[in-house]
Amino acid sequence: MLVGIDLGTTNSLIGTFVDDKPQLIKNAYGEVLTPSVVGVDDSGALLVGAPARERLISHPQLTAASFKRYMGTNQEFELGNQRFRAEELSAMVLKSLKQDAEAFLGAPVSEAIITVPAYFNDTQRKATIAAGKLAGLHVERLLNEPTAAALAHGIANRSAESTFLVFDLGGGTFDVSIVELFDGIIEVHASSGDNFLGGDDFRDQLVKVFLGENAEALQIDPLKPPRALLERTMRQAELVKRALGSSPTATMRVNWEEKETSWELSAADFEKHCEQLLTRLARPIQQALRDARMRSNELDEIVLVGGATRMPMVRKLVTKLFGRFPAVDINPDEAIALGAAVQSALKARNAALNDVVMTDVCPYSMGVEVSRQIGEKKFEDGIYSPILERNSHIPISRVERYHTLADKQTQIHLPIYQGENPLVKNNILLGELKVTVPKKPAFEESVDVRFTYDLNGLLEVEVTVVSTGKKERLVIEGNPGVLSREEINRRFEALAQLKQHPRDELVNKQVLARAERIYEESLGDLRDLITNNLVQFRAVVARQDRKEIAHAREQLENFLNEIERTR
Amino acid sequence: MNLSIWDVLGIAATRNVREIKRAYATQLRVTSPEDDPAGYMKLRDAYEAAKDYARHAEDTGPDEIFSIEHPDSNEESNDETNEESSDEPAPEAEVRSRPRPSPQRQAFQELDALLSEGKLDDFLVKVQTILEAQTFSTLDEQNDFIGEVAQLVLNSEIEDTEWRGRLAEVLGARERDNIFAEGSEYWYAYSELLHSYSEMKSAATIAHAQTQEDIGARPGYLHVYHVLTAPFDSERLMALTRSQTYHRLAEIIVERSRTDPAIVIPPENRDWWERTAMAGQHRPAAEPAAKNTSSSSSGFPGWMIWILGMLILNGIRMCNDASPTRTTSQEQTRLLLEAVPSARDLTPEDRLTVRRLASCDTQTRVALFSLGYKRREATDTSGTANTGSPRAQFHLDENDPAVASLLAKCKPPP
Repeated sequence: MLVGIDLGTTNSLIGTFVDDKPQLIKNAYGEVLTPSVVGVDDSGALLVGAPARERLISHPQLTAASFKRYMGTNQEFELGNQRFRAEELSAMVLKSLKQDAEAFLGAPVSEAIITVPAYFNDTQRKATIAAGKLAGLHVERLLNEPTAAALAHGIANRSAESTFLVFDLGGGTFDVSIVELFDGIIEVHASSGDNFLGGDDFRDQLVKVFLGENAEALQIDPLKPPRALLERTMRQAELVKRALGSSPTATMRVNWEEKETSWELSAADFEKHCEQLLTRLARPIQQALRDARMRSNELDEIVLVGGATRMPMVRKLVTKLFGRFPAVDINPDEAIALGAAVQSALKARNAALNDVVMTDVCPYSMGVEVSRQIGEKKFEDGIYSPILERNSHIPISRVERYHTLADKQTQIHLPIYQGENPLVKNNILLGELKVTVPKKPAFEESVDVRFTYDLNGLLEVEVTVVSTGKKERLVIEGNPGVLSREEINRRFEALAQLKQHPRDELVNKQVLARAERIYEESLGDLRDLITNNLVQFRAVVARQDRKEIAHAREQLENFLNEIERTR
Repeated sequence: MNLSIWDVLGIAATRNVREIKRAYATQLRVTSPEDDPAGYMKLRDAYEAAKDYARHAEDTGPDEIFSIEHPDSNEESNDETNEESSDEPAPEAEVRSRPRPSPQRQAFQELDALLSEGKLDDFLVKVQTILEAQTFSTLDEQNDFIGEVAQLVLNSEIEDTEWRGRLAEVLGARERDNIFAEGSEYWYAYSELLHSYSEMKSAATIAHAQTQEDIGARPGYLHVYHVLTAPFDSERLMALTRSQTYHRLAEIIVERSRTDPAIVIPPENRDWWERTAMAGQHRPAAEPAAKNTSSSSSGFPGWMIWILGMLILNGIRMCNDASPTRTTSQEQTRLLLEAVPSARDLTPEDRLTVRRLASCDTQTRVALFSLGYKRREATDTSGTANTGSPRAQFHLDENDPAVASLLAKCKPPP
């Protein structure tokens, strides 16, 4: 069974195509959004999603979030005494989604389409595939997030003929794609983005200003806050960020060391603090328009995707930049997952979609490092020679020829880069190859380097020595951000050993985690009250009577809702 | 099997874009990228070529690729400058022109006046004020404004690199990042500004490093300083936080910038640096064993790993048999266009050459390009001349009789 997954920085979703339309699947807590947060509980068992997110406040040392930003790096996150890479944490989220889908479909799920930011590079894409493998999922296709959103939008407006821009501001990444829709064809013309710009940054900006202004009261160094305070402030900032979406002012309250610090903020202040972030939104739009050779007034529609586009300041900016209002007919949180579900149906050749074809582009150039002679025995190296141009339609295959620069040279060294800068040091190294050539005078030996970029956005390199016709299909290796096959197998085994809670216990875990988080955020008498309720609930759970547990859980939830409502 | 693009698309040659699209859509259902990648690549090339064919047919004037104003034709370009506001809408102005007497019009008149009076510093201030006042608010308006300013400055032939660099900075330029599509009307004027900007930036970086006697000479210092003080680039900044060496240097520079007014880190960058540091996102890792591609430090004999980045001009391009409309001369034009912005030290003579080229008719221009390339190829294969990537340099030797006779058809240098 093939499913579509949106593996997001903040939330992840899973969907499938049933009854001729894409549908999202609810998790054990009855939600379609599963927070991309992973933790271990006090017994060392794994927690994924809502309960883990609650525990970010109460147990920051045992919990990890926003790890998508570290895909394709060697970074490790500490959860208690264990260390995990971003791929492994993502795999845990994927596994949890997979279980939700299996429970819903009543059949095993072993293949998936996973969305990635269009601007994800080769290393990050490989890391995403590795995460799928670690979760026991064969990744049938990596789909660019804005393309997925375009698919969802395009399927819904199939008969239309239009050119629209997808503005995808998620939790951690920003993507822009320009898409043309005609005769059932969905064509991406250009994509651009910023891998380090998302809703989290707006939240962190609030945190930064808050900590800066209240550093004395809190007695901390605002640039190096304690982890627990940071997590707590982040959560409050997130709430304030959302509140400012609908009301002109909001108050941020943070409890730290038995004291409450409150800070009032207006929507206008928030916008002013985020000015630098807002300016960054214009550039990828400009790039995409330039590459598509379009003026913004030639676009028929602006489609907003990603939870962060709910912020009024973002909508305002979009309206200003394009001189008109964006489309509002889609749910920004769900569009990408729905698009992934559509793609799963396309891949499975669902008859309902047999007239639909989608084409995509690769958003960045790729090439090799070369040297050039700048005088007698003088060379300049570090020059970038692109082979695939940015925003070419994929799949694509191109060849360039390079030759030797020294007499009796026996080897050609080909570092492979991705990026737009003429100097390789400003681009991203993807890996390197070495090719042996016959000893000849300089310039007489040459190689043809063929770059093939597939539908997943992955690169394959083939080198042919021109004089001998010897062909080598080479695997790019030596990139520290990519796990080797053996390493993936080893980690797969290790992950399978991790203790997990049975699915029917998860809901209780989540309520307990939430109670603990609210306890951490409260003071004095209220804490005692929460403790009492917690003890009671734990006692009920221990008795293992389903009906009784469900009843007690509802009571506890009502109690917690009441606290949060009155605060 | 050598099919024409029209065979691939399954229609007779046409300039009707709608018909081409429909044919493409029909073929795409049979040769989708999913099922038949090779077939799709062929179809794609044919489709692009057919669209090019249709587009060129639409062109009425001379080719748009080289619509640079000759410096002599000031009159004409002034018209263009003011078209924003002129009462009769110019053909391409319908988009931006507003019927009301616009603040935009006034802005340009003031800028023009400042420039002709030689009040260069005031000019910069004025541009800054206009940008901050958001007189031009939509992306299209902003782009047009920036392009017009670039054009204005190009036409006024101000040779002060430093000043032009500062102007680029005010306009929000990013190194080597032309906001205009290649071949569009402002592309050249803007790329000229970008050169000055790069020159200004690198001169400033080197001058600065010399003042930092303790760490200025450390490996990586120039790079780190440059990234921190350049316009915001998240990828490059993030790279600094992931390497111990770079991170250490960056922390020192950020710290010093608090007390040293000579170190100017743009607020975007500082903001980003502090915020990500606070959020615990700086996780510098020890570098892997030196991955240095330069021969001197890699331990290999130098000649073993040197390679020459020579792109053979008629190098193999996949499926180019399917795109007969892309002629060699067009290809060369494209390469030249790429060559101009990437040459790091474009001399005043080079600039002059390009301006002169802009003044002659298409045929002469293409002939000159072909000649330029033939000459260069000749020197390349002899292996003696200053070679390298063809995108790097393009010289026309006026002493060459063939070149001279062609150049005679262009306007003389001012």
